Amino acid sequence: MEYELTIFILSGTAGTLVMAGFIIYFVISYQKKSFDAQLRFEQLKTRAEKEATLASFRGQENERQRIAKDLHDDIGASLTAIKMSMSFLGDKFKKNKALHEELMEIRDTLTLSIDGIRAISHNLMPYALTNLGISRSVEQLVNRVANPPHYKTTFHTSGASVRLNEEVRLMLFRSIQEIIHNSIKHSRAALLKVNFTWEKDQLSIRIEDNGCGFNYEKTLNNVNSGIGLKNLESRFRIIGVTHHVKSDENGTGYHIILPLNSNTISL
Amino acid sequence: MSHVSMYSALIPIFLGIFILKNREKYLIFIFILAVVSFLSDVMSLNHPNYRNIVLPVYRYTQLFLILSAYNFLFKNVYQRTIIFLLGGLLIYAVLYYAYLENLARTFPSIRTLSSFVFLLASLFYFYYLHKNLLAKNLLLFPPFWLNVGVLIYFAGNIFLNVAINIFTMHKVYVIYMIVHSSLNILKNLLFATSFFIAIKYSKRITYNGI
Repeated sequence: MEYELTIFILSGTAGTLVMAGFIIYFVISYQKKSFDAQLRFEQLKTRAEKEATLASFRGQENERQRIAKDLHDDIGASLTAIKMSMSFLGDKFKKNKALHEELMEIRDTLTLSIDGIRAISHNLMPYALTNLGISRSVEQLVNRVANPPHYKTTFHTSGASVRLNEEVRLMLFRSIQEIIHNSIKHSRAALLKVNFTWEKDQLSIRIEDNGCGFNYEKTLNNVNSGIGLKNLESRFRIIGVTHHVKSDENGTGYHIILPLNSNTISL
Repeated sequence: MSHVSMYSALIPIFLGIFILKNREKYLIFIFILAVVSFLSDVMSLNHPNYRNIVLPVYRYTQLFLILSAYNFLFKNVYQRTIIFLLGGLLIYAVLYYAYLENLARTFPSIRTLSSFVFLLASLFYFYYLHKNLLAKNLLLFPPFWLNVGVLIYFAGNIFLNVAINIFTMHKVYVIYMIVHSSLNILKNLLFATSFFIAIKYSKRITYNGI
């Protein structure tokens, strides 16, 4: 009879243990699956966001390219033709001094307009970027924005450069352009230094000014401003750049690191 | 022990009052089950003469309420199967109490049979939950605790019913009663946990804005 009791208790205990084991196993297995699913979902979401941002940037670039081309080829060409006509008319009415001077003044104004349009067109679509690469394009940009003695700029590059793939090149250029334009517009700086260091597996870029500085995080998270910085962050994220920003009353310094690998260089 | 077991139903009943505001119908079925279970225990304890009427009615009500709750948990996908089961078990219950009860050793009691159905439903719900990942955090998902309660209580019931038919020793019967009461307390606590989580983590806003 005691034997019956032992069997009863033992089988009851075994059953309880099996059930507890089942429930614990179920919870662990479920949480693991749920965690994996959440991770997968986050990855898909990030990828979708990245693709949407990339598509938006591509759209912007295409539009810029179109406007740059129209400005350069249509309006620029028309203005150049008018300028040539003005020169021709100036020669024709050389004897009429007053009219000649008037025509030359119009011609000079046209020259300024043509230069302006060319500058806008270059800003919109830097041709050097396609032909000469990122270093030269940034160098040209840095030289173009220089306005000594009020705003001095320096550009240095070291190491053997590699050709970045088109998308990375454009994204990186736009980011640097944004940083430089921010420096000009907001920092009240007198000096801008840009350094490119090409290393074996990464491109290290330092951009520093001696302006008044700003609170990077605060500006970035400000709903009403910081769109440029948000775009900057998005571009960096898309091309896999890591960056550090240091800003105080002595100026702002960006350190941008682009890994050089099959995703970023042109093979 | 049986008194403790009986009064333990008051915990889910108390919490269930707050559940009535909730639109989760499966919880309302479980709340009604807790009330019916308590009333049936009170009736059985105070009026043993009515046990033969109270218990069969309670068993079938329990079957209806739990399967209805599962019907909502499975989002009406298995409604036909559940209706078929309810109909089949109702016919069996009528036959069992009318003719077969005396042959209980040959035919499984309605209690064992319904326990078996609940056990299957519970296991299948675990599978359903795992397959569809219905909750981000399982431990904050009321149906999980409800299902654990059903699994433990009815698996234990099946074991006890089998054991009581096999073992004849009086001590086994005493342990049977203790284990049965303990399982009932545990089930009520798990149902109460389910209610508590549903109340605390419900994001629904009631009409009066509370």
